[in-house]
Amino acid sequence: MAWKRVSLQTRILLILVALVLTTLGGGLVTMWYTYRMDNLFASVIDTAVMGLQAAEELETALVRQKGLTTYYFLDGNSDWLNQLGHLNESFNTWLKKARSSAKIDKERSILNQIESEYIHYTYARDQVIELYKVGKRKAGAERHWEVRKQFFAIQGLCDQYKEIQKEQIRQARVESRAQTRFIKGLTLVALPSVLVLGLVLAYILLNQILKPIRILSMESGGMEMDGPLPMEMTALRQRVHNLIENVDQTQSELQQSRAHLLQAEKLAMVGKLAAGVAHTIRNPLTSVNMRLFSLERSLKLSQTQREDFEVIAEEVRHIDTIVQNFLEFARPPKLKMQSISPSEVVDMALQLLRHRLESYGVQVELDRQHPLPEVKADPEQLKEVLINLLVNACEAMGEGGSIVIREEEGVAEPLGRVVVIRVKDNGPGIPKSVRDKVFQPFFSTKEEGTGLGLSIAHRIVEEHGGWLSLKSREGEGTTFTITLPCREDAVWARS
Amino acid sequence: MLDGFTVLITDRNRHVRNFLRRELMAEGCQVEVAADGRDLMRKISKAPPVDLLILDLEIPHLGGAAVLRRIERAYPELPVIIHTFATEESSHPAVQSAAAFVEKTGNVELLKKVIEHVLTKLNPKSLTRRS
Repeated sequence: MAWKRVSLQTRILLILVALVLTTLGGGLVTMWYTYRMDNLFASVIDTAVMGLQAAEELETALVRQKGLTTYYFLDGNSDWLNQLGHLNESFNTWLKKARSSAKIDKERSILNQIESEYIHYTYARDQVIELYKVGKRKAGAERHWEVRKQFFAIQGLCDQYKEIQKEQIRQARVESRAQTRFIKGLTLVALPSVLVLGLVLAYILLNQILKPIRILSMESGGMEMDGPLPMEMTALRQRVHNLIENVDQTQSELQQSRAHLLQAEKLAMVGKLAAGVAHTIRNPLTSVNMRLFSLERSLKLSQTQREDFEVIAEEVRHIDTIVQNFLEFARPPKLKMQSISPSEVVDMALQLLRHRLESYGVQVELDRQHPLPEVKADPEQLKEVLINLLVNACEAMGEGGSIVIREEEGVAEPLGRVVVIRVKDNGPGIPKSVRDKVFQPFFSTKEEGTGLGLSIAHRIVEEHGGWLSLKSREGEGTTFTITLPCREDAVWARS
Repeated sequence: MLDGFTVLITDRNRHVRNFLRRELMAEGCQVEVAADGRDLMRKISKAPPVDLLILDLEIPHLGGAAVLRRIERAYPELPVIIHTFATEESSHPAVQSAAAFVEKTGNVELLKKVIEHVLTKLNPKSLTRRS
């Protein structure tokens, strides 16, 4: 439809224009017709009424002349003649007036007829009067009868003239009635169209402006709004303002994260490069190891030579460990997730380290109420984390000392339900100055450390969706805490 | 101990190749060496027939799981011992089907034990030939 392609603004404008035009047009037409009606009354009715009056007066003046000649014939008193003269004048005056108000030919021809007939009549009457005056009463009386016939003819013409006036008034009335009907019809058309246009406008305003505004403000605010319109507009303004702020904030966050990403990309590239180097080093290193192995079998060495040889062998092994750790750090193996209770992993790690712990003379206390619920985890990697933490603890405490492993369940935001494993030692603790650095790669306080153990452990726990944190007080030992999310599906699988 | 067996060693490092050859020849093996994938495919087709392949997956010119698959297709009877660093690739399904996997650590004794085991226990054809 063409209407659907028209923009909202144009639609509203079109309807408004139509509304204004209809109202304005209706008003103008009404005014014009009122003016015309006024004119009609002023011209047609007034002239017709005046014509009618003139006709009446004309007839009156005529009728009153009737009999005066007879009276004069009877008593010869000249007063009658004077009166006749006055009436004659009056008739002529009214005839003039009637002529001035005559508009149509028919009127004029009747008036002309009246005038000429009257002239004939007065002439004949004057002759009758002359005859009477000279005493020829018989001859006068004879003419008198003829004059009377003329008189009646004039009276008939006057009646005709009156009828014409009446007809004109009737016509004017009919005309005015027709105009009134037209105005009525116009009003009957205009009013409903104004009403319909108004309704359409209201519908468009409500449905396509106010409703979207309401929906928009509800969507942007997310809360119910039933207040009056001004409140809605205020709320909407507030929300749009908030949105703009959010956008600003998001943009700055985006820029930050872009910077981080760039940094991460750089790091990843450097890591790849370094991993390549490490990998390449491994090959000749293995060759060296093989030869050392071979030498060890056959060499007969003095005490100092043996010491030298052993140091060389150990350092080569150390290099190999560093390279291996680094490779593991740079190319982390993919996690092989399965549902497993972390308690099992703790047991596995303790089993594996049993001899080592014994050789360090370390007491391990396991604080477990009941086995932890199953979580999604890679047991091998998680075991690596625990071994790392336990070996670190042993090395930090030196001979003797004790480690407490505590398993707990809890809730931590934003993970929800979590399992927590704490590894607590009573070693010297980690100095505050280096506490933030222990998870950084290549940071080590140990003589033979690679500085990667804790950073690998940290990364593995993070890859499980959890976090590894530490609490330490100098002289009182260190507690490492592994927090892992307890996934709901894992809980269901268990039940 | 391993007299009469022919072993083909593939490793990109010349010193590793030579060391392993020396060690295995001391055990009585006949040893061939290959430096890369192309060399390997050439040597493996030559007489005398190879009884065992020791393969590092990281070799130039056709390496990794691809060379392993090609050998399995061409010589399905040939036992292969993968002797390589543990990486993502070492868990490839093709590697799982090899006769044995020995991580490259420099421990020759372990490798030799596995070689002996594969040649004597897992290779009945070789056994019969040997007797």
